[in-house]
Amino acid sequence: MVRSRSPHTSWLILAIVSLPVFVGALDLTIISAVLPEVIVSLDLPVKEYLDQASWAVSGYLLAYAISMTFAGRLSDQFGRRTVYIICLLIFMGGSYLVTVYDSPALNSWLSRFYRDVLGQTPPRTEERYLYLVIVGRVVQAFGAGAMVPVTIALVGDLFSPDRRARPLGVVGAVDTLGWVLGHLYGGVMVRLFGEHGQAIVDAFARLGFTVARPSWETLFVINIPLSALALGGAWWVLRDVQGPRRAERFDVPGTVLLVLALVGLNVGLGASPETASTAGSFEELQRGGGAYRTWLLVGAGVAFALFLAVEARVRHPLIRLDMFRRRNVLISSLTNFLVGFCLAIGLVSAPLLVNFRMESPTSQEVQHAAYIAGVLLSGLTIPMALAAVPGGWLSERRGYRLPTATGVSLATIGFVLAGASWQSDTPYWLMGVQMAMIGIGLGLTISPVGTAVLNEVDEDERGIAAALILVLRLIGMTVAISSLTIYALERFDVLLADYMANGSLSVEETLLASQTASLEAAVAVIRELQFIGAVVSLIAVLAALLMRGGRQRSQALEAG
Amino acid sequence: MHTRELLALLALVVLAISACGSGDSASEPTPDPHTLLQDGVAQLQNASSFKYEIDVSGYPVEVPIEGFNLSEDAGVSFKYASGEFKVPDRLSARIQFRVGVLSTTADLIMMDDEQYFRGELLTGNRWLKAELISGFSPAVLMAQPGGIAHTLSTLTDLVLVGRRDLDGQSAYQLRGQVDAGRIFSLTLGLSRATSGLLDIEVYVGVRDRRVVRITLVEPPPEWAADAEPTTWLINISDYNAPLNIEAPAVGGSG
Repeated sequence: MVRSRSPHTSWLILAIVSLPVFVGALDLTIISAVLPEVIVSLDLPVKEYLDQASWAVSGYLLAYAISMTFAGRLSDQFGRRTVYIICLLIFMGGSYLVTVYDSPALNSWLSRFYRDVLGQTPPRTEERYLYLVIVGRVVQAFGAGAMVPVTIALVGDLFSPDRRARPLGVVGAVDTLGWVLGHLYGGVMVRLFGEHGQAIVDAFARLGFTVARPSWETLFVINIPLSALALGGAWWVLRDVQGPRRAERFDVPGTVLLVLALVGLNVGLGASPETASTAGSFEELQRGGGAYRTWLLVGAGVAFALFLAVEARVRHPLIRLDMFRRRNVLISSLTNFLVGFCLAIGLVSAPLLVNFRMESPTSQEVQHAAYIAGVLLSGLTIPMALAAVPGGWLSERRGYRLPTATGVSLATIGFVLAGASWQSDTPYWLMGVQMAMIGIGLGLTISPVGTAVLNEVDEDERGIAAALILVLRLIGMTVAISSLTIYALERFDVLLADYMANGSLSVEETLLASQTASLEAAVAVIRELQFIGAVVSLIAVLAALLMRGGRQRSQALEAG
Repeated sequence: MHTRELLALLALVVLAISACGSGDSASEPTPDPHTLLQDGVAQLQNASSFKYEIDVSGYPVEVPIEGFNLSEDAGVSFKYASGEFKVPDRLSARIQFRVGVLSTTADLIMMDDEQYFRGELLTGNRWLKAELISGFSPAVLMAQPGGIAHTLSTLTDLVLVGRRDLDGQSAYQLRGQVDAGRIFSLTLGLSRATSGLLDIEVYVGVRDRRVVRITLVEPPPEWAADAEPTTWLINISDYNAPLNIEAPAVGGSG
């Protein structure tokens, strides 16, 4: 319902509600550069806990994607203001939870849960800290992801149909800017805290405040006052914004089944935290995790089949399946899922290589590595965001197929070059060039893939179709992280054993050789990940070649 | 909900919380700390096996590993171990070391005086037959004198602090002091202190009177007198569980 209010007021409202959207999107990638710093600060061995710690990244992506699917509908039913405020409170609660992972009460509660509910010995303290960080991240993401569709829906309430394009573009840009800059922000801040932490403490002390030395936790503390500001603002400015209250029933069974399917798929593809925590060795983890994973994947498959059955029957489904009968919607969805998969490979492998290259395991080196990783990842994401512009231009003139296929082909070449050249001493500028090539390639697909879907669906389906495009990319990222983390850890062990199988060495020779072998095995695994990226982007090329139209449509519009 | 109903609900919640917090046997006579400790020591002395967990916080416990090439500013220190002990002299452990600020793990198996270990960073996961913890034999854990049970039986200034909830497990908290020269077995031979009295706490399970936790505070070395002390937290569980600890194949990674 669009009320008569001045355009300035509408833009002010949009600016206020977009601030938490930006912060939430920032947190999508903020941890990818600083994850090793998090594991180190929690005093956990990186190799043993990398799989579990990766849930701090993929858990956020997954929860963000899931909440995006249904929050818009919830706001239709319960009102924009109510749902937005609740989402913002959830985001703030999650941010707070991340910062109080060492709370004795929470830890005691978690221990009791293990002992009384699961009947297991509680995990060690540092492991509980990690689980609480992950829980906090997931809670954060539920709020952050949900705010995106609610904000998009607010644009519909605040602006008339002929004026919605720009504000919708702004919401999209704010969300993109957030995840594009997240890792750089994280890396730069962690280095700043490492180098000037004491100066910050002293500066506050001069003002009469006693504060703890800032660290990675501070990145989440900052969210709270920013969100509180936005909360007050949103509470005030949304008081007379009334969205269209719909009486239609919310698709609860569909939502629950979709959540079960996605969580089952992602947990099943990786080793579960429970299995990992109880395994006495990596071999046990593999054996125990294997059976557990199979059941989870079967469960996810059953949940997804039931989801499809429910969606085909209910009157107001979460996702209208008939959308996928249209060729471009199906192909674009698949392409975007694969783009997400490739993007995650880029986001994960560069920080891994940077961290393995550290000269000595000191705090300064870990913080410096976070900074380098942040800068390198910007080399992937900033060109990706910028390439969306020429991608759109090409799409309008040459159709959807050319820019999409060209983009994923460029990404394929970038992955092959990275896989062929990355070594323990590859210059960062060369890695940056290859990351930029991948980024530009993936970025060229954004506009044609999005436009192909939006132009194919009916007007009333565009909201959910737009969300679906983003959700599929996020799901592609989570699937990549879940499946490739366990693959990488397994391959590392195999390669390490190969490198060490050079006849019989003395104790001293073994101790010396193992350090070199660990680095060589890690670099080899990271290079293999690039080749997997190349294969996946090649599949995306094949999918892109099946896309149709775009140019004709634009010509027809121009002629019309 | 009306105010009266709300107040009634609040009163119920307060009652429930106070019932939970008041302890399950307010009228139970206070047990004698020496009797509690004797009961715990006896169960430990008679155990055929147990599982343990050692977590160190505060000032680092350095571990010299000969032949391991590291930069000058990155020493190796002990952080955590969990494992099993089978009477009389078999012990297995997964040990977490800090190398600089990074942590890595090593698997350790001890059979009498023989030690086998492996770790990704240390040995590329190959089992080596060599001493990881110099001069330590698992037989010392049950030795008389010097074993854990014997060391606990020598505590002085023993007092019962009260009952504590250890994450859902109710235990009596005893506090006392121990001669630093006797803690070799408690710390797997990794402690620095060799003389003087150290603060120690022993937690004895309310139901089974078994020693479930020991905390030991070791002062920092003299050259770092202002630093935090080292706190050793030792959990003991699964008394008399059937265990099988065998020597691994040297040179293999399985």
